[in-house]
Amino acid sequence: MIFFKAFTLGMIYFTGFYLLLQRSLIRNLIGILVLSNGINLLIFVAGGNHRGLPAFIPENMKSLVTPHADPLPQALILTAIVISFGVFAFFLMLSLKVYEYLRTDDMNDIEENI
Amino acid sequence: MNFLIILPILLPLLTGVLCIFLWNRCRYQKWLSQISSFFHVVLSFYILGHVIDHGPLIQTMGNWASPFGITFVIDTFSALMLMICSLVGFSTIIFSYKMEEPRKFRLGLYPFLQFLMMGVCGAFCTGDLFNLYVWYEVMLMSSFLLLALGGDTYQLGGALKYTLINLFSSLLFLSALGLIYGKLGTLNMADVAQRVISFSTLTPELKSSFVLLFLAFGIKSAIFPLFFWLPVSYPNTSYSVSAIFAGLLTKVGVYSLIRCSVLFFGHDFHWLRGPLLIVACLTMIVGVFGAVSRSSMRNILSFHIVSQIGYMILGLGLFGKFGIASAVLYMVHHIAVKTNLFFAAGVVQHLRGSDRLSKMGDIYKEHPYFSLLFLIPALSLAGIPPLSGFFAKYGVLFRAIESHHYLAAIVSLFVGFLTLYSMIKIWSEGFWKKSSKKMHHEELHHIKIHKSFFVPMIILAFVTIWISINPARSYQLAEKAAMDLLDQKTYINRVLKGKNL
Repeated sequence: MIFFKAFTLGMIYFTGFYLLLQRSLIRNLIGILVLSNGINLLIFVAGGNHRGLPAFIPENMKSLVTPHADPLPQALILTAIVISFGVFAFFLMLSLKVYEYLRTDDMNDIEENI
Repeated sequence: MNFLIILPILLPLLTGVLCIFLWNRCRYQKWLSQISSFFHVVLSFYILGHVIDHGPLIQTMGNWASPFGITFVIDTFSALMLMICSLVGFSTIIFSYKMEEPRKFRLGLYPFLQFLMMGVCGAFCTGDLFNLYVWYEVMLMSSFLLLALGGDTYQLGGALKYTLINLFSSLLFLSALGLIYGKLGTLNMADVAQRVISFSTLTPELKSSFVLLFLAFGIKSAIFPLFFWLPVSYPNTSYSVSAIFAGLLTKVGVYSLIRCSVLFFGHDFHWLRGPLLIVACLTMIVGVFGAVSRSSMRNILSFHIVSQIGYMILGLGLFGKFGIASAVLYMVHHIAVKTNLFFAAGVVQHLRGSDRLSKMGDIYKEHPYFSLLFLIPALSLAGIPPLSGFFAKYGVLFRAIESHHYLAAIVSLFVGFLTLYSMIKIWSEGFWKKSSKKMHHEELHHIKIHKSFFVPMIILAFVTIWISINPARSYQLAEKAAMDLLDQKTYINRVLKGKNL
């Protein structure tokens, strides 16, 4: 299971970096999006492998029973999703503005014309 | 619950929100921002005094026990940074009033400046790695908005590069946090330090995730191979925004780098030392050569930010009490001086319509007081003896010779020399040169410099002069900050066990 997760993570990072290295702005945007989702998965995996063991206190108990999922990574991911969504929305608007002005999304053309 | 510790964050937040409610009433926004940032200055001086007298302020939010809640820690280093940042914020808000076009105020310049200050202060106060990430994002989001405010085409290219590289560095930061959490099971800085110290040897797996973290800080602080975003984005935005960016943003990266590397690896620093020294020397050299080759004031100054960051990293790499202390002093001196020079560039643009050296000239003849006010930070940046830059550079140089890093000492002297060269270039081209007949615009030569340009420059020049007349006291403060940083055991005990030793 862990190998499968590691492989998936590796592929997502690979895709993200590959897209970020492209010249086209829209591909960079998608790269950022893919990479930030990959990171969310990374944090989730870092919390450990616990299947079907939510971090709830069972009935008639005072505290958590020890094999349980780590709730902290879930909270971290939630925060990270919100932040990356906001920043991504801003970046999308900025790219749109650049596109409206130059009618191109090729980084080389943008570099020459601005 | 000690409210003092969150006030430096709460005050800009409340002011920013109130400014949003007063969206179309720019005059009220202006008064509100000025008054609140004045109180921010008073508050941060009070906190600095409190921290020096009574030791660090520590508070875990919601009264949780320490590694579980989000901890805020203000020690001497943070308090010093808060002090100088609040001064820079205050002066920028005064400066922006006449500098910026009126439409920018209607687009929300004041609230975004307040949110930027909130992010910066949060990054200085926090004692939790994930919380540091959140403050970074608060700071970055407002800096994106400020950089692109107004949406003029000349801003777009710089804003695009700045946004892309900073998004990338945030992603690296977050990956590093995920890896560190997976390995250590905690993100509280004191707890991370405790666990790192408890390992007898540092494994490459552990080191690699921290290197990823330092790489993210390196992008934010514009060190050698990662600085290319800075000289393209800072000169392409409005003048007061570039002044506050020049003062604060990269220094937050340097602050985090110093804080994390010393707190986590202060007991076993030698593996970081070599890379840091090499990077520092290359940053200084490449930055200063870039500056020499430029021909407009803000471009020159932007490259100098890069080369000066090298000195701070050099101080960190040389390590030891004195090395860190000189890095801390260098940061305080640099923030005041650099912001002031960008203010000067703004005033020059106001006087001549451009900050290109070829368009300048005769400023000394027409505005002698302003020219003298420019000379204080310019000579201080180059490290001329009675001024603050000399003492900051002297500390780094002394430490380099003391620890037998002669090459680093030679490099820092050489870079200081070239810094002086480019300051002289600005002075003689811009201030002494006779402006040529062709670009002699009669109406431009009768512009008066508004007093709202003088006040912030005088405030920051005063900081420079204070350090210049009290070098011993400034070093005492910086050494206290360095001792707080280097004493990992006390920091951990204070935060985790609540003992205020």
